[in-house]
Amino acid sequence: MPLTTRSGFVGVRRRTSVVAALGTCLAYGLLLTTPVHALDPNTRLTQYTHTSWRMQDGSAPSGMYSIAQTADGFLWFLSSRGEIYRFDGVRFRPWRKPADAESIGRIRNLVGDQAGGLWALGAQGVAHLKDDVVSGHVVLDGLMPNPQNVSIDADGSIWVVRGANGTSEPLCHVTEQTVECFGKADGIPITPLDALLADGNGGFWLGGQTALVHWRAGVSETYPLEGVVANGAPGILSLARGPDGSIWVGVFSEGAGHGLARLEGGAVRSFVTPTFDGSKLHVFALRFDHDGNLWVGTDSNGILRVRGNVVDRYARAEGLSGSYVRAFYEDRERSVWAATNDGIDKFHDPRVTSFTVAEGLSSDSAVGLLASRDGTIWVANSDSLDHIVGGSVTSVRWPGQQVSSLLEDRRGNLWVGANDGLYLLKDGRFRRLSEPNRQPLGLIFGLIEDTDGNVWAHCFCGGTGKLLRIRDFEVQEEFSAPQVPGGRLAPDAQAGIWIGGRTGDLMLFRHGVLNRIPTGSHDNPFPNQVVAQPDGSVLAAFDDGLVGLRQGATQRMTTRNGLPCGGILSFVQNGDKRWWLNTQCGVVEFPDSELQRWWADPEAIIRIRVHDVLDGARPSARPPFNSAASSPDGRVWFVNSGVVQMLDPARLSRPALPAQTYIEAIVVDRKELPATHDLELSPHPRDLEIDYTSPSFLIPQKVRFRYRLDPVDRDWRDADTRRQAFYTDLAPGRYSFRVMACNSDGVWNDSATTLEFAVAPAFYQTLWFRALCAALSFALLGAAYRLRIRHLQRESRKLRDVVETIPAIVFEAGPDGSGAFANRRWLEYTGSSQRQHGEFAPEDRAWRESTCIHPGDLDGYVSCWRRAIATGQPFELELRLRRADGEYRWFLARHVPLRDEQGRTLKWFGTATDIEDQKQAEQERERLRQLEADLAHINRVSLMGELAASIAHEVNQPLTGVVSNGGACLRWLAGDAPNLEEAREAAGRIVRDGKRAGEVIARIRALTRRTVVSRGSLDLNESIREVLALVGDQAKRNNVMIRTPFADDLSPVLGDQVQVQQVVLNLVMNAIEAMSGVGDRARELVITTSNVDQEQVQVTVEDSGVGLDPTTVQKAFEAFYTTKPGGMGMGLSICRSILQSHGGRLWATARDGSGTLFHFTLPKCDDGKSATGVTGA
Amino acid sequence: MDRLVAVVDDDISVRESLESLIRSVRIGVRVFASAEEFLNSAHPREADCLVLDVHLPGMTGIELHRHLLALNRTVPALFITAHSSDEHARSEARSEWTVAYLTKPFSEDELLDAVHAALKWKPKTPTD
Repeated sequence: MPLTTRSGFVGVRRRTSVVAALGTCLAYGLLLTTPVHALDPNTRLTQYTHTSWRMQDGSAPSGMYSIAQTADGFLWFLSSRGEIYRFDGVRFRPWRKPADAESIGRIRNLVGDQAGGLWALGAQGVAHLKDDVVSGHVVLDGLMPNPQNVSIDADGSIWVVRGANGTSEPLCHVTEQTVECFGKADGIPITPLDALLADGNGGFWLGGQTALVHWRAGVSETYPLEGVVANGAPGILSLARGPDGSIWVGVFSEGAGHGLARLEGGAVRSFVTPTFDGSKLHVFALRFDHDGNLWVGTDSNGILRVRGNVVDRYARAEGLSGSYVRAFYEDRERSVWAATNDGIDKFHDPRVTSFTVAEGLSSDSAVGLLASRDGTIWVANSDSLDHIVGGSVTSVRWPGQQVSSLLEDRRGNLWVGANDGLYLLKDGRFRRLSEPNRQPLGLIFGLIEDTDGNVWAHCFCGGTGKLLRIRDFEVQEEFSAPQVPGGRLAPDAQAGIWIGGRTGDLMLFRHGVLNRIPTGSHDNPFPNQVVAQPDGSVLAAFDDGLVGLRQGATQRMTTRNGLPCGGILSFVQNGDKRWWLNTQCGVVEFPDSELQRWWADPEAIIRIRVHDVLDGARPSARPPFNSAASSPDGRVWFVNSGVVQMLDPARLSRPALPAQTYIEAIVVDRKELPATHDLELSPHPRDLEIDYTSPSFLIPQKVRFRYRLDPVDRDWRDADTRRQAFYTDLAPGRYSFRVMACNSDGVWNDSATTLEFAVAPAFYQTLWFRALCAALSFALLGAAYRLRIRHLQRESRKLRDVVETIPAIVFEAGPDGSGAFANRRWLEYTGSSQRQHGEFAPEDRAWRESTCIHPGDLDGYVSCWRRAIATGQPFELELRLRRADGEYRWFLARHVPLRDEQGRTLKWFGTATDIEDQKQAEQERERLRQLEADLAHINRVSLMGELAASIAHEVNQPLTGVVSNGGACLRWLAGDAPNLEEAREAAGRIVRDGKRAGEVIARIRALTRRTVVSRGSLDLNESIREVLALVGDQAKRNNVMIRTPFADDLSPVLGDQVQVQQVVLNLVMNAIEAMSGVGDRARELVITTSNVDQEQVQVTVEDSGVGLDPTTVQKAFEAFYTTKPGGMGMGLSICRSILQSHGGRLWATARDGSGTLFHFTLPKCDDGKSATGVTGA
Repeated sequence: MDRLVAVVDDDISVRESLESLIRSVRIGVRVFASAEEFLNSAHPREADCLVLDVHLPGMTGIELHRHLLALNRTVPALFITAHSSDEHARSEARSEWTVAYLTKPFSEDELLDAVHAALKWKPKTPTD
């Protein structure tokens, strides 16, 4: 090969701006299209999804210098300060340089190898790292920080170049343990070297300060750089080989043959196009990507991307993280990474590609599009008509204004509806359709062609909406609402057209007949798009779903069927029978088979793929017209948010790589530990954090995780995009943490990554500690037991003293009553010398004698004792015990069992308390009670005596009746004509009067009886009336008027009738008596009853007698006080005690004028308050 | 039935039984519950014989008889009483037109005899 000539292609310094090109190339004509940008829609730089991590905003830790990817999927970045970061798409994780890697000095370059290892090139040597461990390193000086200039052999060894001045052997072959360098002696003509590129045939392209060299097996060709490189400038810093084999040279200096250059005709020549001059650059990095684009990293000019003759720029102004681009890297997902002085940039092909002003659209106000059969995409834009032909966006010279509808008819004519009429593109020129009556057609909303060749237009013309039928380019018919309303139009497959009206109805207008089918859409009933299928079905896009109409029935596809949102703006089916729904939340894609499944089952969940904003979609809220189209090449097109968006199914079919998960670290109580297997954690970890990740760079936001920690979690836990798992207070034991992830396509990789670790027990959780605790507890328990015993002994002594000195006889006996043992008091009382008794032997005379129980009480005692032993129930009994002097005294004997937990009697305890004195007192009280009762009885009887005359009168009256009636009866019966009727009546009266007499007798007997006290509910009014019946005559004879103003609603009281009547009788008799001496005024006895309050009833007995002075009032209630010559003075006293025993009271007050009022109260009767007792009263 | 006996007693048993008894021997009879009722009726002048309870409420039988006698209405009366021991009343009732003083309970013959006697009664000491 000859030496390169120093001549070269002189770069044409001509950059034609877009505007200039437009201007110069604008040819005047009926229709001219102007190419603004040649564009390959797959590769246009501005159409890439660009992501950057900047040092300024903190998303990147530093400016970057070198990029590598290891086989595990992680990206590695070398910062300009020599630090290494591992990157998973979300987080930069600083990599700690192992100690044995220190010898290689400051790291200047980083290269990943096929085997998953990483070569680190330092100032003093090269190290190979595998799994964070240095697997080998060699000493090598003179390596310069020029990334990418490393070549990896198939065996994993690397070739590097040395750029330091004075290096005699600038090319080195490095393995993990060896290094071999080549220089002049090996045929390398220049030194030092800065760039290296393997030629694929065992040779290398080498770049130095002044020349490009090809070296292979000791033979070299040199291609000197044109001109002079400034002294000290590095010269060639990067090399790249294009898909066509061309060698591209990146020179870090300006000038002819410098900058971006390539080997061309045996010389290195700057790359110059009519619009681009490569000689003006300082090129730092070069790289061809998978699609054959050349990426050029420059000093201060950002990125240039070259494809063919098209050069795209991307610099800080476009959003690049920095101006100085150091390295490129294309990762496994075909994203291109750029390391800049201020951060990192990533470019990748979006799934949804946009065409905007940047790509040549006349403005970002697109409102509709049409894919014509020749592949042209027509775009209706604001006041212009653009089209995309073969990837170029072109603006069309168009005479109309705002385009509002587009149609390509079957003959290939383009119809354009605008706001000022209808145009037809025919034979290369636009023609405006003639208008009927010379009226402008106005705004054309929709244009379609039916199967019969009629063109239908929905226009707003002449101030009203109309449907026009056009044929032979003439308006043939006009239809207006309500006969035929306008709307979204679609041709039917057989004949006629479909109209989607504003009411939500779908209407078929065929042969002049309108058939209306409601769809039930309410949200926004005006359909966004209507399409009639060849099979006769109709699909309509609404804001609340896709409505299908088939065989007269409608069904709806909504979010319930799995759509991400209901608002469907437009839809289209492309060539490979897939459906594309442009929704308000992205483009939804599904095969026709899913639509068929939905036709069969309207509830079916549709298996869909969604391309959302993260994929580049820019959903609109409202649809323009004709906003979906499919071009003949199978691509689908939408108008969204004023721009054109395109999906290429051929590129979408490439699936994302399966997600690989890695556990990065365990953080225990804020201390990070490496996630090595069988990790033993220190005892009692309070907060445990497990960091895991899955390297994915395309759309890391879509990578989601699931994890579980056995045995803590019962099931997988959804972590969503979170990359940490948190646990607290893990108990000692072995744990297994598993984590899995899904990739950006949402496909889960079910093979989980596992981390086994153990939590060591704390000292207090260990066995020996527990054993020690147990031993200590036992020792403590023992000590406590001994203390307790001593305490109990003391207590026991104290208790014995108490038992011995207690003023009662105390004994204990076995569960069968045997072995009774008594206290000292027993010996003192009985004078017995025997404390201890043997068997329980009631038949034994000696035993009976030893009990000292009165013979009259002994049998009762023995039987109680026997029953208690049999049943285990305690008992008490009063019995007489013989004292030492032979006298018997009454004792209360109590026997109580001591039971165990099962209720078995262990022992009996007994006491005998001397109750002789209480007993006597009680007998005394009983005698007194008897006396009182006797007195009360006497009182009643004597009262009766006083009443005898009155009573005799009461009885004599009916007796007189009986006798007289009897006589009458006999006489009525006697004689010749007995009067039976009269006799019967007389006999009836005898019976009545006899009963009456009997009642009087019974009343008297009741009042004089010694009776059982029977308290019950008592009608006091009635009781008083009965008493008055007895005293009525007595009162009459004493000229006493009795008035009874009783309360009608008087509550019943609780009491004994006889006793209460005795009180009333006493008071009434006293009152009559008190008035016996009264002659100057009416003798009046008034008995009043009243409900005095909630609790009691009051009775007042008022007389107009002589009255009582205050001192006498008090005395009146004392026993044996009387003012009557023949009285005992017991009456009022007894009355008071009767009332008190009833819970009532009795008192007297003086009457105004003269006389006395006696009052008594009785408690009202509540249910269940009645009681029965025995008393002698 | 030309003769009429008037019975004044506040006790209904007595009134009804005497009415039946007297009528059974075919003597006309009228009964009254009190002296006032008798005085206010049309019969004070027609009664040929009075059967009076001593202890009538209000005006007693004795007072009624005295009243009638004072009005020159001489009619034989026989007194009945349930109080055997009331000797004071017995002496009070005594007059020339007093035929009998019977203590309840009396036999029907005693009463009828007294009634018959009263219907034929001529005072031992004629009055003008």
